[in-house]
Amino acid sequence: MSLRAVTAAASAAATRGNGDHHADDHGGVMTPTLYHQFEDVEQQNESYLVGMWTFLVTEIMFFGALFMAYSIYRTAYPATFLDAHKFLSIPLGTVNTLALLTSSFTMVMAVNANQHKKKWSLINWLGVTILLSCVFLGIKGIEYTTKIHEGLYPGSFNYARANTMYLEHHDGKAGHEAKGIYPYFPSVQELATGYSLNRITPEDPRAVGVEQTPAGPFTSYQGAPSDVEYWSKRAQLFFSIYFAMTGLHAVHIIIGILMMGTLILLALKNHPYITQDYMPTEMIGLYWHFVDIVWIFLFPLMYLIS
Amino acid sequence: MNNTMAVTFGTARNPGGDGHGGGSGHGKRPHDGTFIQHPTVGLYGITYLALLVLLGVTVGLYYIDLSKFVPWHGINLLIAMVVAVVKALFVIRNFMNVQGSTKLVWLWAALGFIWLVLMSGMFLDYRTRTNPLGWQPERPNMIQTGPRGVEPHVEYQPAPAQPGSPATAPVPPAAAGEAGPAH
Amino acid sequence: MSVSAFDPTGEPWPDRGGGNAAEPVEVGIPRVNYLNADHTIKSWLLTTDHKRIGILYLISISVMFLLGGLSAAIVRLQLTAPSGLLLSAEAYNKMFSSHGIIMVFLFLVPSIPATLGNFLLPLMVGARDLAFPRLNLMSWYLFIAGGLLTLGALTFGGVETGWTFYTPYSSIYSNSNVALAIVGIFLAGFSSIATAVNFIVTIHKMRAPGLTWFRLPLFIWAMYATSLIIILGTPVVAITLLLVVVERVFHIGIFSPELGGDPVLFQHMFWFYSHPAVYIMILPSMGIISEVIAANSKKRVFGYTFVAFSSVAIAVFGFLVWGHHMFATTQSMYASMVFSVLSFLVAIPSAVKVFNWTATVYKGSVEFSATMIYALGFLGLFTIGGLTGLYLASLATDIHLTATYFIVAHFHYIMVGGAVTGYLAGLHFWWPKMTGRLYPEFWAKLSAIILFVGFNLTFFPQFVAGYVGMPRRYAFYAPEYQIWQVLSSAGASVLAVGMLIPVIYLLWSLKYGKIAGANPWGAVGLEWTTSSPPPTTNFHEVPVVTWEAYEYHPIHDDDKDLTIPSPTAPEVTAEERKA
Repeated sequence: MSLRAVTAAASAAATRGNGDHHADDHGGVMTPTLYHQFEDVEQQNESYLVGMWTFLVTEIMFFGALFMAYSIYRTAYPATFLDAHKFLSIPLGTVNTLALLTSSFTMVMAVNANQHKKKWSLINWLGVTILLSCVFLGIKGIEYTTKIHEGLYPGSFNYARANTMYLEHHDGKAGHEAKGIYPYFPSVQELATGYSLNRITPEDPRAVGVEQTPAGPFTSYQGAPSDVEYWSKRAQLFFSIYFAMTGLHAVHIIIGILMMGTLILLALKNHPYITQDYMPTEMIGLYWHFVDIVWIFLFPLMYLIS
Repeated sequence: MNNTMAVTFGTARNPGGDGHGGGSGHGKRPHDGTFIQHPTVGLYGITYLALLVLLGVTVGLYYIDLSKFVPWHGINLLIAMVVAVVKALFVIRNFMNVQGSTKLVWLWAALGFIWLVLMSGMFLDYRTRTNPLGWQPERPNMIQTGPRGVEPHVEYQPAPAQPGSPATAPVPPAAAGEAGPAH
Repeated sequence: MSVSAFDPTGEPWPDRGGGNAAEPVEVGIPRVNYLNADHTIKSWLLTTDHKRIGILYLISISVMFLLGGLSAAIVRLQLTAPSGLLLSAEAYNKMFSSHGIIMVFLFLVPSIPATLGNFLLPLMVGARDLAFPRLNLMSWYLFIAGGLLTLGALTFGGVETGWTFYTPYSSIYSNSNVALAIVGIFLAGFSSIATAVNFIVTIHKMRAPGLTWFRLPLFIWAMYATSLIIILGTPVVAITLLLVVVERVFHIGIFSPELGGDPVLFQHMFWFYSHPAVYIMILPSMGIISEVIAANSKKRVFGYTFVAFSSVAIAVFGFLVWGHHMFATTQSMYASMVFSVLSFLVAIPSAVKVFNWTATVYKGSVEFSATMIYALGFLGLFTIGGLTGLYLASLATDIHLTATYFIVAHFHYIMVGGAVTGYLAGLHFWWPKMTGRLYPEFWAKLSAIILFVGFNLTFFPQFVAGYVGMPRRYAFYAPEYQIWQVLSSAGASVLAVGMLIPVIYLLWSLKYGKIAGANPWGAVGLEWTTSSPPPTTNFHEVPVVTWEAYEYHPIHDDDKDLTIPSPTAPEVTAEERKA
């Protein structure tokens, strides 16, 4: 059988198959651009799909290495991780998880709208997804600034100061007994003068020396000064991993937002990628769900250590 | 052997088969260019609701110390991870539509996670280390006991009494390892 | 898998659905091919044609090889005298680091996949292009960007950590351009990921009708295994190196021992990629050797299925042995024992390949062409490199040999003796396909022999030097090792001659070489059914494959001009010919 016959048979089958699938909802048949290296749309679409999954495998390994480092240090320093995670706000983390899960749902709705050639529905769902991811990033920003303000950023680490501030803001309660959050918003001046790095120096009067650490609710702080230093260093390790993992995740979110914004622009321009094809949306959807899955694991591992 | 492999992986560009490795794996698919069976909106909604419920379980689990009921401290972590895996499977199966895709996609979806298991062979080293991680701070009056390679289980030894100075009685810190601060 | 002499479809043999029947090209260079389809610089820089991208890669990689070779030459000069000939200790550190970084990340890893793989993979599977041509072009630009960044970092300021970037030296102490070099390597890593994604999708989805997995050339199997390793390993080293940058720039110290972090964790993650990366370098070479040996012996590769699966087995086993790089660190001895055993296991699929190649040559119609000399050289050098690897896989011996010149000699036997020899064999083998011209056979044979001799003279003394205790990476050394170092440097200059001759005659052949024709070697495989150089779309009509891989028939010496075996030609075995 020659190739031409095979192709002809496949396209005949394709014509017949149109009636029984979702395309009948709105009558339109997708006729994506067929690139010259492919024989038919089926091959093209499946190649996209396999290619995207192959890329996602690299992403899994990319984050997987960090999860590996996390697991190794957590099994090595369980008590430190237990102590240090209390500086993370569970309400904020939960809201963020909620936002991302919802954005995953709105993303599949966007793909669904694209498959049914509902342009404005697609744009709306994508808009909601972008909005939710901006909420996520905003909350993340609040968390980061709070951590930096407390002295929990590894580059300007001051565990004792964080401990003190935490106790002040939570009426001496620790862990899950402490209700509420206290977000910290940096002033414009602070942002302008290099807020993030090495802000608290040892000479800074706000820096509380480790020797003067009050015996707080954190059990690791009861002990000799050398112990305080020991725990402080290990807590810094926890926050290193926290910033590395959530930072990398946030970078992925930003890339996702940019790609979804591009999709909206293409839809507004009635670009054939949107009007005649749904694979671009589907691909970005796959990416977005992957980002969601990473957070599904990050949330209990970072915020909910018990 | 040719044919079995071809069916497993699907053969490119050869839906009908010319007798040589023509795949029969294409049978179920509608040939309209959108060959993937996509779930309905209803399934998306159900999946979303299930994810919300599981999120509730994840957060709720944090406030319940299951080790009171099961004599193992890792039980909370284990269940939290199982819940996370179930959530991820929901997303992969329904949102990422692996159930409607070909075996090949399924294979690739699984591969990354399988390789993470391979990578966890690093624990082979870390669980059997005879030396602690990192640089140890100066702790002249402490000795390390207990399982090595994990957070040092610290015991205090009273410092030798210096002639002329009163011996200090150091406060023992909370035992490291599994015993965290009291909830 | 018997070799069928008859085509089930009844089509005549010479018409294999490629370009031959439509446009007879035996007489000369086809009028329009991928090289002369368009002449502007823009048409090259913005091309999405996999063949042109392969050529772009070939040029850039050759430049990298030249630069890496230059730093190697300076290193060898320095080591001719125990007190050093040229450089301070610091400059020496920077020089061998440059050599390692350029050769590993910018030459060896992309060498065969990105040049020959890019060029040949669609031709071999009968596709018009790779699945994602624009991604392919992007990968070249990523490589160029990463390469320029790394070269800039190495040139202006330098890096003295060695190519392994071990922490905490790279993250805390080193004052050199570590961060910049790593960002460049990161980009180059993503370039190879893009290539690998492309290859995997193309092999899975774009094979010609009838081209089943077990009719694929073994080069494709090797490429598939290589791509698997790149997909699964490269992201790990990317994030690991990124963490070093993050520690240097943002003070987020995951490997910092001061914080209780474990510097050996860096080594774990680094070698989780970088040990399989050795197989990224050697597997494509093995694929090439399979093609070359089959074509030059006019025989089907012995145990095709075994060779095919041994590629995949090497890819998988390669991921289980990273710990053998850390026998002399704080890694627990129990882990070391397991890794030692697993390392021995990798030798099995490698040995399967070597034995099967040997068995392929047995009773074949062997032609000692230049490519065959390269291939036979590969067999010997790779065997030595592989067997000395077993010395290093056994725990007790490794304690003595670790961080000595024995290691250096071992991995150069694999990477230069294996990977580079294979690369040169492949470059010669497919040079007529790429350019449409033949290289001068005499000079090619001469350079292959010079290369073999020079290589052994360079690196065999290093085995001895390492065994008697000379540590690697030393700028100055005790005088008793001088004899080995001088021998090695002398060999290096022979090696350099062996590398330079091909550069000259290959460039010469571009203009003055004999016209090759579609199939100068009488090889089978889809790439030989189209014209040389191929047209932009590779095939005038997509081929339908109805034959098994490597359907070679041993032929008479005076039948050499019979390029494609016809079903009427009697099968003559070696014994019959002798009789």
